[in-house]
Amino acid sequence: MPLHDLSYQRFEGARTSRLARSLAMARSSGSLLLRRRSFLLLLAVSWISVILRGAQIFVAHSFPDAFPFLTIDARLWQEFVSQQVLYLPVILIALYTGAGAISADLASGAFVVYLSKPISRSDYVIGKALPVVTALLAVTLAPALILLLVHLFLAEDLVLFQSAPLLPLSVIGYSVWTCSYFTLAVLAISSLSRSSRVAGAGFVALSLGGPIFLKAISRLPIFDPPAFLSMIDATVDSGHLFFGDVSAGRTPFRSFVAMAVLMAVSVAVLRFRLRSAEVSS
Amino acid sequence: MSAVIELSGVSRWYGSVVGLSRVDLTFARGVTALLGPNGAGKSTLLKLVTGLLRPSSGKVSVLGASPFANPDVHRKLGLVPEEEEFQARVNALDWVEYLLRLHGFDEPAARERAHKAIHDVGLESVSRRRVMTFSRGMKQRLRIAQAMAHDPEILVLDEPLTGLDPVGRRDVIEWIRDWGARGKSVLVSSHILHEVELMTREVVLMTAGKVMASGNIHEIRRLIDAHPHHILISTPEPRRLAAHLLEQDGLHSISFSEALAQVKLETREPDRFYELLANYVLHLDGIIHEVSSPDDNLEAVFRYLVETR
Repeated sequence: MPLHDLSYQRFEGARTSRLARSLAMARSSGSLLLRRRSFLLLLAVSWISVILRGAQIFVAHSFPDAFPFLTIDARLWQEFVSQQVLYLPVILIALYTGAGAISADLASGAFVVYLSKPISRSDYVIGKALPVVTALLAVTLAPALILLLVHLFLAEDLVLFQSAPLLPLSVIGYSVWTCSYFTLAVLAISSLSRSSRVAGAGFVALSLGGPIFLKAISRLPIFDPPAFLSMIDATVDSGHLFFGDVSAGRTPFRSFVAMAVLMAVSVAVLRFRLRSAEVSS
Repeated sequence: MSAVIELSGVSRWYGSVVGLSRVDLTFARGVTALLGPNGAGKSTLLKLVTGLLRPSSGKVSVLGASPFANPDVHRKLGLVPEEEEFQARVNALDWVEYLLRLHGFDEPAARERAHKAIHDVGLESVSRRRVMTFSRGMKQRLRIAQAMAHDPEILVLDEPLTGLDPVGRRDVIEWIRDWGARGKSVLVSSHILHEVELMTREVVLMTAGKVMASGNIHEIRRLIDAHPHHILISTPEPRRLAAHLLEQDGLHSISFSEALAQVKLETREPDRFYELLANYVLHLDGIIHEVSSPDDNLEAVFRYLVETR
């Protein structure tokens, strides 16, 4: 009896790139988020400030004599992004999208399945970070750029860009920096727990505990506490660097460095926690 | 036949706790079962083979390469983990398709393969249902679907029969045998001997992080037969039954209790004594309410093997 070749012809077709696989992961998480009404409501609430700023630009252009104090300059965009942090939309959206991003996978054991697929740990983190950072950019960068377009549409001149030619780059840089900062922080905290609630509580404590701490020690007559001790204050303070207004900040350079250090620590935590399947066994 | 999976001098510690100690094993194509009680090191071994863990010492090689964080190896691997919950809002088809996208299949190919895998595990009628509504058995079928959807060369199944109903068990056992017959390497862990016997003849016996024996299951059976079996018999006439059994050869020890209405015996020829008991009832008008073997399980065999080493 002739013996036939029993081996299989392997799939030799083109495979999508690693980036495409991370995007597939991000798309899946993103579509699940967009199906939640509570998330859409949160996004809508976060855009209230956009409407108010839009109205401010409209009034300033339409009734310049009636409201001379409504000046339109680069500070408007810096304040807008900073307020999205100060008034909590960024914190709440990072909490909503990121707190359970990794902890839920660790708790369910899905992390083991991901590790058994041909994706690296970096691909996994990128796949988890993309939905968070996209949601954060949707309440910082996207509305800021829309406000710029509204201004361009209403303004009769380019005075704003003559005085601040790098304004679009400043807006992009500050927004991306801020969103990356909160994304890495919330993912690192998410990887430290198998409970989304515990991770969420940890993130809230870290992000809101800082300002409370600063407020408390600022009452002491000993010294003026530096902004970098608080995530929120450091973010707002570092904005002055991006908008070239260093003198207006408290300690913007130190705040920037402190944020970079926290991001590096977050990456290290993610590398340590996701190094193997032990974390979920 | 060349080895598909090779472990040489592999140890793995969890802190100061030994998960696996100096394991040397090779696995060829076909089905191999890892047998052992809980805590034997089966899951650790499977995690090392699938590259989820890095060995503390020694070398793991899968298809000629280290599997730890190696996407090239993971592309050819399918894993059915012991326990895995699913994203609550996702449906079965989307979940399998999503994991296929992580394998690098483009959207149409992923959808087509997901449909086929879902069909193959008998979940077609519930493919659009949210996974959170699935029974334990359906979730297990889904785990198997995601593991085989990309047609891997090596399939690793950690306790795949857990939580399955009899039909599910039969199906999974048939699939495992079929994959083995088609030339795939299948590594399956279990702590239930008779289920393993239905899947394969190649077994690896493990206990306390060590490999005790590996090879043909008949060899293991012989070891089991050499193990003195305990047989417990409930009867209203323990004295009479004990007297009858005492006349037989091959009895290691016997005791009886009138108060408990039972006879306990120890023998290396359990099958012969089961036949004797049947004859006692049929030909000597004996009365027996129940016969059980309290140590006819793997743990007892392992204990025995450990003691005789």
